[in-house]
Amino acid sequence: MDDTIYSTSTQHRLFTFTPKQLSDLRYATNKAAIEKITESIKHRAAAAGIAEADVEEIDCPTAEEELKLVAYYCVKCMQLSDHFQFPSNVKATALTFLHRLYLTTSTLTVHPKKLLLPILYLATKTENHYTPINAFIATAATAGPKVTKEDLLDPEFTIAMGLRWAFQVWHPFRGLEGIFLELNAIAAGRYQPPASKSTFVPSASEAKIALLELLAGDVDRIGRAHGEARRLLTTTALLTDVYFLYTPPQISFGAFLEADRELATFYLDIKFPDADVSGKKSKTKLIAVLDEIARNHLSPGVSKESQNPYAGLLLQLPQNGITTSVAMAVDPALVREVTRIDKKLYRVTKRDQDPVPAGGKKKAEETGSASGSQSGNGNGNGNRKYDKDEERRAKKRRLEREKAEREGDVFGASLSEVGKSTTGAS
Amino acid sequence: MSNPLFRDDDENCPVCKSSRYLNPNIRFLMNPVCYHKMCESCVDRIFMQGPAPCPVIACGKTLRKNKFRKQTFEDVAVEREVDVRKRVALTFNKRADDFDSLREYNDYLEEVEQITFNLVNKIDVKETEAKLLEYEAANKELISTNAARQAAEMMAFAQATEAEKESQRLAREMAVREREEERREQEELKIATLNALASGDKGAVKVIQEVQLKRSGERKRRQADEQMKLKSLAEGRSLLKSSLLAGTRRKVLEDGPFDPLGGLSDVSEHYVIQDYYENKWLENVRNDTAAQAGGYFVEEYYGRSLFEAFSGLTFFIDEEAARIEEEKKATTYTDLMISDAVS
Repeated sequence: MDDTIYSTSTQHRLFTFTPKQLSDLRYATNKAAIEKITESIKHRAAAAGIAEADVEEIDCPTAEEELKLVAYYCVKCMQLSDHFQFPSNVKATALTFLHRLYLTTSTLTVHPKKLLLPILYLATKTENHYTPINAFIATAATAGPKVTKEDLLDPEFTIAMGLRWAFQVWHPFRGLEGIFLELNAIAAGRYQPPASKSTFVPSASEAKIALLELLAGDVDRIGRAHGEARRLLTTTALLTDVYFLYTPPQISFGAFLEADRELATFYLDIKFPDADVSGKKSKTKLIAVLDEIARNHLSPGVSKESQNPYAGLLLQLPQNGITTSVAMAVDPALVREVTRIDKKLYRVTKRDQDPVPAGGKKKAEETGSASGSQSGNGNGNGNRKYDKDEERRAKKRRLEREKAEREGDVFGASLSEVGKSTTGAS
Repeated sequence: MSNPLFRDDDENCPVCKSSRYLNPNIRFLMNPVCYHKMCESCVDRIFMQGPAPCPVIACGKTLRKNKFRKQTFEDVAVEREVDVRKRVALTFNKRADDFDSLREYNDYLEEVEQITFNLVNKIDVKETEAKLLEYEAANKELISTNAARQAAEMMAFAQATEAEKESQRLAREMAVREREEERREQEELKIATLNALASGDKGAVKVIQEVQLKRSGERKRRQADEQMKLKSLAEGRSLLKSSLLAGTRRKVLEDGPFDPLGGLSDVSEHYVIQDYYENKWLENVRNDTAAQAGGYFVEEYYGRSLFEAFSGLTFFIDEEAARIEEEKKATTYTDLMISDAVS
């Protein structure tokens, strides 16, 4: 019954993937957005009368860069939620919404910064944590951003569509409470196994003795493990891909395993007794999966330098230069990187919104001032074709040089590209 | 052609060449064997002596006089298709409630349409005819029961319609009668009042008017009652009619009682919810009457926490993905059907 109910949830049907599927989806979203914006910019250029060959190169953020940006804003969202002093379920829901939304929406379409507050406000509503909108705006103002009611409420419909109207999120920290209810019951000698397993499981008093032996007088150990697991689930778990890759109870148990391996193994042995041969196979598999969660995602040992278990896949892991903790997000190198991506994104989206394409306008001015004899009348030198072509080539060379400097490659672009651009200009 | 408004004077009999212009009363007939049209007098002349070949050149099919009838549709192809459909419908007269599932019914309909199409367009006529006959032989009993049922329904429907008409007629008659009666009473009142006035008795006038008022009130009540009765009668009839039309014969599955959850149990295989869990965080709520009055029960919390701790624990996403992949690869039922149809 347990697994069947989970498998009908929207979380499973819409937002659960294998690592490969998740990575492919991110690349596909990025690709579609780039195609769309390139098309749009070219269309504008064509409308302004600029030949396709003259349109400045459109430099869009890659899928990796987009994910870096979204991850950074997820950390921001977490800090914002802490500023509001929202409970962890609101925070977790807001972050999950952000992650889910940017699976199928590109940052090229809508910048995450614009959505932080609306999503947070939506999360208070979905989690039944009533916050009057005026109080929300006032608290937001103390953190910096000035918003209006319309700013908060207008994007809601779009966000809801991006979430495919699936508002309910299964949070692993709720299940964690269940695990510790049972562990405490074992410690009190009151544990009852389900009927199907009662023949294999030790009696309540035996289980109690075994647990006390394991604790060895350290009664607070259960509480500590609970605290640590909960901390993992309300911080790291929200900044990694575990919500997409595993089922909620697996994440809860994974965090438990990371917090206190011995205790978690003891509890799993009670739940899946070795004597029960039918459950043996799924237990082995389960432990492997839990290990994977703890080792690859939740463990504090996962860092930039550690080996990437998902090589070649675009997942939210520190190995990919993507932040998975608040501490990482303040790293100056990462902030620099994110600022660079943000600027790049700004330039592209700006070009798409400008009424007159920036490239074309600049070119016109440039042409006018360069041909001094025409006294700034750039449109008048249409008959002097030779001069114009010469200038265009010079401009192209200059732009290429600038671009190369920006990217730090002193030798310029690859030969094939140079060849293409010169043939395009002539 | 049969429509006098669009009468074509140039229309002539292909056999004797007499046209409508010369003979305004000419009637054209055709035989549903070859659908060649000819005038009534030709039919009489040629087929009086018994079956004879069709006089149209290169046809030569043997026709019988009693099969000749008037053409309903101008287009012979349509006429023929309608005939074929009528014939197929006589044999294939199963209904939706003869089937257990919609899918089966739809498959049946498709098969019927296939046969009809083949017969209409003369594709594989021999095999299709054989199929038709085979089906007829196999389902003789069902066909006749369905035909009888249809006839009974038609009859019941006709009767119900008749009864309704009758009741409407009665209601109309009653209304006329009532109106007449009312008019008569008014007149009587007038005469009685005049008489009373003539005799100079003011009290009598008043009494007469009161009596009259009482009587008319009574009559109105009676009328309302009658109408009510008629109305409920009509309603009952229409109900009966609809129930007759929707006479259902769906088979009741005899696999035991219906289970809306499809065998899903609400008992977990991983945990048993106990009555009490020690947890210092919950002590406050346990003792807080305000929270309990508001409908918060700690038991619900236990249930939800444990449910969320185990719902999906042994559900492995990679296995599920592999299964879905496998399913996509396997040829589906529909694909098989399409390849059958193509081959």
